[in-house]
Amino acid sequence: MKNNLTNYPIWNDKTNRESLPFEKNEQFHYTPLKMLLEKMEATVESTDIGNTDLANQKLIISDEILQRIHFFSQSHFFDILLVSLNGEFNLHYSQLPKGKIFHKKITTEELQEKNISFNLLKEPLFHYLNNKEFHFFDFHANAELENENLKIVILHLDSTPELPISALTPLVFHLNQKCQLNLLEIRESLYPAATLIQNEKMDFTYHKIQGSLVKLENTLEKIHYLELNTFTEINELCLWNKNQDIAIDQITGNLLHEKSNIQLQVLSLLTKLSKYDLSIHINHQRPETISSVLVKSLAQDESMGTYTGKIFVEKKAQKSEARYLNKNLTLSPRATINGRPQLEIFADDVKCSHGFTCGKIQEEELFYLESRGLNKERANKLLIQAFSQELLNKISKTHLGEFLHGLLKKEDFYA
Amino acid sequence: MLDISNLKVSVQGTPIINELNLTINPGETHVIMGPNGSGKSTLVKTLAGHPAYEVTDGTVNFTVHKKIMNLLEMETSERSLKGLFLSFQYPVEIPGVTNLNFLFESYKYHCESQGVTVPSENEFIDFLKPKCELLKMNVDFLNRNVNEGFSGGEKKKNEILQLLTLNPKLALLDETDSGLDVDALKVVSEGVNTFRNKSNAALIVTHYQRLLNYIKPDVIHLMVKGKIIRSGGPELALEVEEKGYGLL
Repeated sequence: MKNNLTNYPIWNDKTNRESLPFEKNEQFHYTPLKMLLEKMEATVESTDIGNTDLANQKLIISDEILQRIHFFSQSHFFDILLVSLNGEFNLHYSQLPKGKIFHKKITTEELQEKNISFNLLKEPLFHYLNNKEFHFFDFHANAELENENLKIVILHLDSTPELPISALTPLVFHLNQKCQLNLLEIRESLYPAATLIQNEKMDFTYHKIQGSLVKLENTLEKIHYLELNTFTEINELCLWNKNQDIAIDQITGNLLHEKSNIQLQVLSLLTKLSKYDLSIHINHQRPETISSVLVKSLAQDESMGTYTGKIFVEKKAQKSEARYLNKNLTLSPRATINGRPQLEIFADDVKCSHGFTCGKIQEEELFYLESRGLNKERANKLLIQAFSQELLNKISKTHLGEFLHGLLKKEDFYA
Repeated sequence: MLDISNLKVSVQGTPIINELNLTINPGETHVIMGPNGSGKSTLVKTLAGHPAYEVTDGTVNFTVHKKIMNLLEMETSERSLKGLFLSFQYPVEIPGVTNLNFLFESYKYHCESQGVTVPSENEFIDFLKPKCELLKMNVDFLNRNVNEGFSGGEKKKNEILQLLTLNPKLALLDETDSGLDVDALKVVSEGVNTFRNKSNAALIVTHYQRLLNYIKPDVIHLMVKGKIIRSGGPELALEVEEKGYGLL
């Protein structure tokens, strides 16, 4: 099951075209995406994926992980709990209330038979990871869910033994109801993961926390692929705080129907030596589609964040509106932020804007707070909090607000 | 209360204040007037502890409850907690932090520093309401982000609201009257007059005599090229208004 990067010319081309600097003389300290993949390939090669000795060993779940699962299974915040261990969905620890959600492990062919046209299947990375199977969650069949508010949490955890990073089995959600979906995804795993959401009719809200609350000291791949027909709002919060974290996050949104609307907010908090690479692609394919993307990032210590945001407006997507804004705050002289906001417009009657800012905490702001009795540390934290508040406010309006606030306090980003 | 002796201040190696001496006693209101670039704002920012200003010589003693403290050795926040307040010429906007949170946070630090019980948020709001009324500020201002989208006048009123809330021993007012219309000037002056009593003091930096129609000062100082060249009673401000700095 050996994979070779060079077999995927599309991927190479895509990497070079969209991720790496265009100009030879461009000083762009980009997370070397290709290098990471090659590193992964080496890992895959050095271990035999088919070796079942490790895979067959009984998974040992630590008390800490059990407590975490227990916390969410008891939480009134969520109706449905999906647990993934070592990168693989685990039915035993999950809670799937009967009548609400239908789960089945299916093959690519079966997925296609269901007439679900995920363009994701064409994504080169997925070929690279060699996925042939999907965990399929269907909400479609149940008419009782009409107008219901579904609260789902997905936990990505690791147990022992640590299995080699192998083919990932994406979680696929198929939604065809006019109900609200609140999805919180928490990653505490070093295994790659992918969540796919096909949204035909319903409005849905998506929340994600991904980061190293327990451990995350290896290469991570994460891909979100969204096919959006109606209004979609995504709020994403990333915490990267362990040394040597390298994370790649791709979010692709295709606006496939007239008047489709996506609101995407990402907040990432980077510390220590972590490296985060976020790439957002929004494709306006139909008229009067709307997209609004706001990415905010705080970089401490020697962390590095790289943000590519590309808005593509096709010729037939007349009267569309697209906004992309990336604001960054570096909290130490050795933190780095790279940004590439891009617009590619082929329609002639559209409103589009994009922007990128990067700065440090202003001395004058600090002095103002200190002159009112706040010590330097507290003043710093308050200004950091203020920077992230805009996005947290959006999340705080939901039932997750309290939960997220507690988490940020725990992570000591602000007191 | 404040005793400045032979103070020298530089910014990036350029001397701005040169051998300045000034003494302010409790119950007094002093006004510093002077042409642009004479070092007035530098003086008050230095007293508040702005990191960009380097004190190259001199001493500043700050006396509260008969305890003499070396102001120059104290952190900015410590100066505030001990009773020094600077009203900014250009108040800073802090999007993402509400005025109420900011004020309450600041007030809590002052309470803790003085060993006083911290009130509840509701008690604190009740404590703020009459001050907002005095300054003709709608209570809604408390829920807006600090100075964000405030007009020039609203920002200055907000500074005075902070002054009345923290009730310091020494208030440094840096051009609090600039950018104010006549009505706002009256309101702000009333706020400052409410603050004044026998045990505290104020040092006001201004360009215009008109502020002094509402706030009666005890001493006027003229500052030129980083030095106080003349001091006198309120009549000195009228003389400046009449003749300009050039003739003095």
